Amino acid sequence: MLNKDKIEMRFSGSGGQGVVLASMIYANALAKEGFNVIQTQAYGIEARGGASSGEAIYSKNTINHLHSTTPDVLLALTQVACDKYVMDVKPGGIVICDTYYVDTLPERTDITIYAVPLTEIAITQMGKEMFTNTLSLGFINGIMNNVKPGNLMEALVDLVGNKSKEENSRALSLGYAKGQEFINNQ
Amino acid sequence: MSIRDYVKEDVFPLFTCPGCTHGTVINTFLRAADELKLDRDKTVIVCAIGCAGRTPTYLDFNVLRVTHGRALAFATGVKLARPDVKVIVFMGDGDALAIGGNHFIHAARRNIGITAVVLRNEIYGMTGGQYAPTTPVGAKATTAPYGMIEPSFDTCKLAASAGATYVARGDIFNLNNLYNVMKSALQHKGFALVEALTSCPIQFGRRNKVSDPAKMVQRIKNMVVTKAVAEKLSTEEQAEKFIIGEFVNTREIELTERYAKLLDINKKENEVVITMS
Amino acid sequence: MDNNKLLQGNQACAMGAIKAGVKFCAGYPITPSSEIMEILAEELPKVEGKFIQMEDEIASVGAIIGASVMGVKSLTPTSGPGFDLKQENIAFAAMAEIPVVIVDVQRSGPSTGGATICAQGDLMQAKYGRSGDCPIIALYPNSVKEIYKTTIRAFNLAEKYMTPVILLLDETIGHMRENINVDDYQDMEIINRNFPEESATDYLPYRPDESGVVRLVPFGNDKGYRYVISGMHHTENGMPSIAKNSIQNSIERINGKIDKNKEEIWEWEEIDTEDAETLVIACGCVSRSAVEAVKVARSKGYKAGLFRPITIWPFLDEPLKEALKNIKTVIVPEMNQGQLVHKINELINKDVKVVQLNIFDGSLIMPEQIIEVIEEACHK
Repeated sequence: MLNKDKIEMRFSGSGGQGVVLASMIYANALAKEGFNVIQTQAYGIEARGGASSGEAIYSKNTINHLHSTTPDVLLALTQVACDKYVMDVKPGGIVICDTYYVDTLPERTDITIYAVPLTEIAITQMGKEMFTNTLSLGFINGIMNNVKPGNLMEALVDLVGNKSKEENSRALSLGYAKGQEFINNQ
Repeated sequence: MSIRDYVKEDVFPLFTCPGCTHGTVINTFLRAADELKLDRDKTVIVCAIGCAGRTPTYLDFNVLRVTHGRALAFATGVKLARPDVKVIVFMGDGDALAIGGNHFIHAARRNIGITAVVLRNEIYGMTGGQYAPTTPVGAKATTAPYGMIEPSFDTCKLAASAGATYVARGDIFNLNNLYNVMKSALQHKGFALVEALTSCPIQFGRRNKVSDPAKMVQRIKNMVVTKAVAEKLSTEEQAEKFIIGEFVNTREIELTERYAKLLDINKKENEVVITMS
Repeated sequence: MDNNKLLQGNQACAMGAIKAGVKFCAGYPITPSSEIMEILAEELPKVEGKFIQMEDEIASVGAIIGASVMGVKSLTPTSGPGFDLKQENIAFAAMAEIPVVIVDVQRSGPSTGGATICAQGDLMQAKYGRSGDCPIIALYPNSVKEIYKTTIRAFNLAEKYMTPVILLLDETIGHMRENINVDDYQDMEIINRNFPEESATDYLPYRPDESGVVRLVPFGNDKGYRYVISGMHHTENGMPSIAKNSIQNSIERINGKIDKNKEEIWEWEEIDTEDAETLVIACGCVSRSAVEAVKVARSKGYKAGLFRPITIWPFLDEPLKEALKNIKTVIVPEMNQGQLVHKINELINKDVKVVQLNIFDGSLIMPEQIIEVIEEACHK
């Protein structure tokens, strides 16, 4: 999946969905894999409503592109975020849409679109919507397989501590399995 | 050691104008310092700009003379860095209450162990007689040629309401009282404020028909009343006077004591306990 | 090499400060620098240091100077309008020769501007923001790793030359996370304040040594060193003086000690400058894009190089002149209206073309934008 020197990932949604934290966790996991990583985020008013986003850029080489203008991978947890960022995605890139909030899927044909009800899975199987971001991390890794699940979990604990550790671990696995399911069905 | 050892006579003469009574406050401070055997090496004096700010540079202590109004901010760093050192701040009224007003109330709020002496001469002396936040209504200044129209600060009430745990007022006529409150303030643990009423015959007096230094002292004598006398006055009569003596003297936990506790707790939390099995 | 930890730029600054031996921080909340003092508020008590949130930025610099006078390494972080307020007491530290470090995480201005908007508008303010001929050292790293080590270096220079040092960061590098292994810097030299050899009776606090630097014994010492520290012109004993010679001497000396030692203070990076005909000169976040741009330009056959000042002040006059020798075109990308370019124009021959790329809308100047300018300049 995406065999490139440098990959740019953007995690987007609305303020409160934990997309910035998600980007930080994924970035940390990528660093644990030995990649050079740059993690950035949108600050300010943008982070408190409207579309919120965090980015992780990784490569085996030194990265001097500090901002991602054309991501290879986009996670969109809301329609607003999807509409705002989908045209930035590089041709051949990947977009993951949470169909619980994204009703109108992108019409682009030059990208791979994964339509998956992430929030719904979090609500029905985890009992809480707040696990959507963790679940998304697992899902992305399920389709990209760019970090070891153990490293992703470690990265998560590094940032959020041991609170809800078991649930987070379960959400990661659940998301990962779902991602794998999509890949295997392709 | 004698009281003269606290003064650097080799750098005299003083810069102050004839008839200035700032020296009287310094003199009283030195008598208290001598009585308390203040260690010159373990005392830091912080002062800033203006007549009151420059006077302490003649004292044989470690003296940090900083930017206008900021003495208490610098002193806060001094005290936090070395809680064992005695920190004394001399300020003018413009220095402490106008440009430094913010630092003044916050130092009081923090109850940091600093002795702050505010010399209230009711005018900006060094810069040439502009009005201060302490210039009495009606008095003339170069920037109040038609007379002062703004009300003044009551320094002691300000300090007390901001949280100072020692607040007192003295003046350059009733020297026993000034000496006593100065001594108490120097011994106090916590933020201690002494306001000292002083006279500036050159910049204040000349513009207000009291250029005679003796008359300026007489004016202060008439301005002040002791707490005992004040109690017998009506509210209106009291408003005309400056009450001298002690207003607040309480013992509250001082800021560096709080910090020591915090560091102590932290140390214990970070301690590695090795148990033998 | 264990390179697998990510740190935020501001976090690296706070950790570098701890490594340098900082035991006191005073600050006032302001975006995008607040993380630095938040981390120090948490970390300093663990090393028996202290943090205090002061009533404003003026008081914050005052407090750290007070602590430094007592011999404690001290820092204050700020940004934008907070940097404006700090100038007053930075000047005091320069005049009274008290080592402190002021971190300015640059944001878009003037005034409130944009708290989270990246800009490089404070390069000139770092040097000229204060009245009088006020000396300063200013350093500007461009990565998380470099922030960590430059923070340590800032303290080393402050202590060595008894002067305030400004550490310039910008919103982009302050807020981004990047790989770092702090263990790589465990052996970095830590410079502490030098003390005089003479006894208290012979001591003149403001009598400089051969390198032009004074040796101020911390107040509260038990060796009997007592003196006055003042922001007024002063004589060698510290007493205020407006005698002509003491004015001339002190201004010459506080500036001269930096000028005399500039070769030690200077730090810069050059990439592909040996045979370059087009030189990109950039610092901070923009220089990261410039590194990429030069790489791409080279791959396209353009003789491009990069000169990256890490020391901004004192300015790298001689090294830059040297790098400019065979240069035909200079490209200066900056996230301001053109500040670095003023110094470059001072140094350049008339036949060298200077192309400015000034973007100050808050978006980072990207490699592609610089490449475009390189290509355009080379084709004309």
